[in-house]
Amino acid sequence: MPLDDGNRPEEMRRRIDGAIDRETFALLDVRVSRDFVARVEAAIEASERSWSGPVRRFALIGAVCVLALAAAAYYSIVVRPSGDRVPVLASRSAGDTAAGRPLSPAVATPTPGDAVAFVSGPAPTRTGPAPVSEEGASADAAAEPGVAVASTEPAERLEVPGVVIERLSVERIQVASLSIARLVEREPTSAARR
Amino acid sequence: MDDVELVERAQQGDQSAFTQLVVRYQKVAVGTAFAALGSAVEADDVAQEAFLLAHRKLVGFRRDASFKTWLLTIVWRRAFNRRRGMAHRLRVWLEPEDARWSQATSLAASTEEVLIDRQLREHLRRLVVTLPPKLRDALLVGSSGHHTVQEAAAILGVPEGTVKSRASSARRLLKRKLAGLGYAAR
Repeated sequence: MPLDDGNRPEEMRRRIDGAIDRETFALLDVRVSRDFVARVEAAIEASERSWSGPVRRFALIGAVCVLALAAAAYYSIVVRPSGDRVPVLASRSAGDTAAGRPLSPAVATPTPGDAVAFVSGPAPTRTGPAPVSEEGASADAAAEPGVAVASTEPAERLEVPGVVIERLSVERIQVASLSIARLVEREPTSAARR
Repeated sequence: MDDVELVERAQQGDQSAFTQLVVRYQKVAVGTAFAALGSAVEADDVAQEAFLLAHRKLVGFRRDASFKTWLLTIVWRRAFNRRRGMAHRLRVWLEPEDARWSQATSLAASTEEVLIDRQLREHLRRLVVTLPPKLRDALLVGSSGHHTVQEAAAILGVPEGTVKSRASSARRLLKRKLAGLGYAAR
């Protein structure tokens, strides 16, 4: 190799360092096309034209409409139902079902892995195969803020006509409890009024 | 006119002030994009897009950093995103690495050319291209002499210490590979 004379290692080291410096500098020392500035100017002009006048107005109106729709959807799906519903927390094990025992309030702390049902909707007059008295015990459970209920049954099995049942993960229980607490304050159930 | 003044005027809608900024930083913008992509054509595209984006965002530019650093951060981000994209990968796959990296770089003879071993330069270029991307980025952006370490850290989005250590690792690796080619000082 031409540089490897073996007699002057310091000299070689310097030359290699210098070569690396020069080469890395040269690699980025690119040629820029002559019309680069003109192209940037043209692109800016085109972009401004496309974002001015009717186009911008149309885009703004569109964005406002989309935001309004999103807000309406959020309100109707998330906010409104929690305000309208009278949530009822209840639990029932597979054994209860087999024995035909009614859906009953249960103050329990769910542990990870439990199926948790959050029953909400107008207070049920009947709970399907397992009857509960009018303004039954499940309404009492709702009057207890912070009550969380676990069931060993799938939520679908708790379903009763006119009652919305949502499955909740254990992480969401706190949220459910809080919303119940709020709701009970604002709109006491008949059980709470008694 | 300095950058601050040009930026202020451009923020007030003076198009010619922004054009002056483009003229001033076109080379360094294309060079920075080239460091990420190794392709003159793509670097040119990315630099143009970055100037366009900078123009749009200029009103929000609060001068926490210099205009140059701010601009080059935009350039790098766009170039880096493109490097991860399918089109770029396909291009890399189709085109030999050596050919890409030599497209627009200045290999023209300089006054120093006579002092530099041409063969060593060619070997070096090939080795730089084959460095792992993170080390190559730090070497080219952080220690090529085009940017300060502080600027390079802002552009690459890593701490200054990381730029220095990566650049130094890149140099060590280059020297080791050069030694394998017989360029070692004994």
